[in-house]
Amino acid sequence: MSQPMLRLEHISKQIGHRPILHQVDLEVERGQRVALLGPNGAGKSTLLRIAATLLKPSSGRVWIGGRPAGDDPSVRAQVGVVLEPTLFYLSLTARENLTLYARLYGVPQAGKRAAELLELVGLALFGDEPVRTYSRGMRQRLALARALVHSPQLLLLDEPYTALDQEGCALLNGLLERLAAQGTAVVVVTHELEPGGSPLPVDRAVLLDRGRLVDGVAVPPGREAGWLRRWYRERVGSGLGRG
Amino acid sequence: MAALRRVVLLAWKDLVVEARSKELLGAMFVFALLVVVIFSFGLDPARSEVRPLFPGILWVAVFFAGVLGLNRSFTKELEDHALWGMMLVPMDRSTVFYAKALSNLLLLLFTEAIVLPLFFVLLGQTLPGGLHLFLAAILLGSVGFTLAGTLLGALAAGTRSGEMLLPVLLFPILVPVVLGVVQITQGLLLNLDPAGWRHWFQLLAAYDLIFLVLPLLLFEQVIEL
Repeated sequence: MSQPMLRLEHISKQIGHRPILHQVDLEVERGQRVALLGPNGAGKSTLLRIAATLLKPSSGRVWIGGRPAGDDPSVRAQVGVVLEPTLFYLSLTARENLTLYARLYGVPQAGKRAAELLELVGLALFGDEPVRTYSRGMRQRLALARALVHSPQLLLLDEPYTALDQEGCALLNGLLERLAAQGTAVVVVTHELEPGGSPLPVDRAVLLDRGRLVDGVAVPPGREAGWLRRWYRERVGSGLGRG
Repeated sequence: MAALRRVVLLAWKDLVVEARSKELLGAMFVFALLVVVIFSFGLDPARSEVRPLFPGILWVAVFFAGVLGLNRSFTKELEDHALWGMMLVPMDRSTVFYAKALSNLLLLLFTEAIVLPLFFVLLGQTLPGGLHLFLAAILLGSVGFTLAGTLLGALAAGTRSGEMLLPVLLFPILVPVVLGVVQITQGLLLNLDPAGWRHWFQLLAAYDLIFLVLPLLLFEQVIEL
């Protein structure tokens, strides 16, 4: 039986005396796209950073592709991450940043890969400009290219639609469809349930509230507009998980 | 081999970033130069009683200039949280430390290559004790300084008052390095008996070795979010 691409096992996180996450369990299969939803302060970004191995959980374990994360750095080769900061050296150009990441990940023909990705995210014309001169939306596109530079099997996206225009949202939606078809697992933290006016391209949604996973649903393909928004509002509006 | 390649790649990236901003090199170079120039006006090199002070002046200028550079060296990593990007790469996270220490060392050596000859010219000093030993002391002292300074620079960079914190943390730890290079330089400048100062080379080498290994164990904890 194939292992899930991501398995979070009883994850708890406490910062100081403040509990952020409490006994969270989540599995994401290969090719599956999961939306991690919840109100501000629910612990979504913290959970994503733990899954990305940037943060250590206070208790619990993270498994990536069936291997425990944290023991062996090579596990991180399977993960691509977009976070709210875009993780670039601002005085380097977009091409230099992508080439640097490609070389660090051991991607052959790093320069060619950087050029392909710049083309993919629609930044080929601006590839030789320093990232410092980029708008927030352009940086967000570039962050997506960085996350894909080593063709990861697991993509973790924290608010990836931030500052993207209509065309950028469509680009990301199309990309998520293609990556899922190729077997890439995706976890997306977002408040944009209809990015660019289209339904969020996910197969499953889970709801995190006050550090606990409180609900989840399989998202039907070809659902009517606003389906996921209604599901989310019904749960959050009902005060689920509060008090 | 892959680790070494990554260290060189990241150090090269640091040097390219520095070449575009010239922030560190400018501050380090101007500070060290000013100290040397001010002392060259304030002290009469012909008076024999001030000669023993020169090694101290020289290394205070170099190390204080170096702290200016160290203070800024992690700023670029934190600007857009690029350090997190490096932490995501499938490599031992201490790779980032060794690359940063290498680029800091190269910048310090570059500053020294300009300031040290000026020191000898402006303060009218000669080196009767042997240039090769002096160069060895510079190298060992600079390596120890940058290894300890880069580790503590990473620690201080994550705090709100990092620029003040770094010298406070660093200088007590640097005491063996400062003592070593000052004693060796004094021995060479004043042409003292090598038996009285040669052992400082061993101390510098041991210090460098300790701070070469320590980051393997500590750096990941230091940069943890």
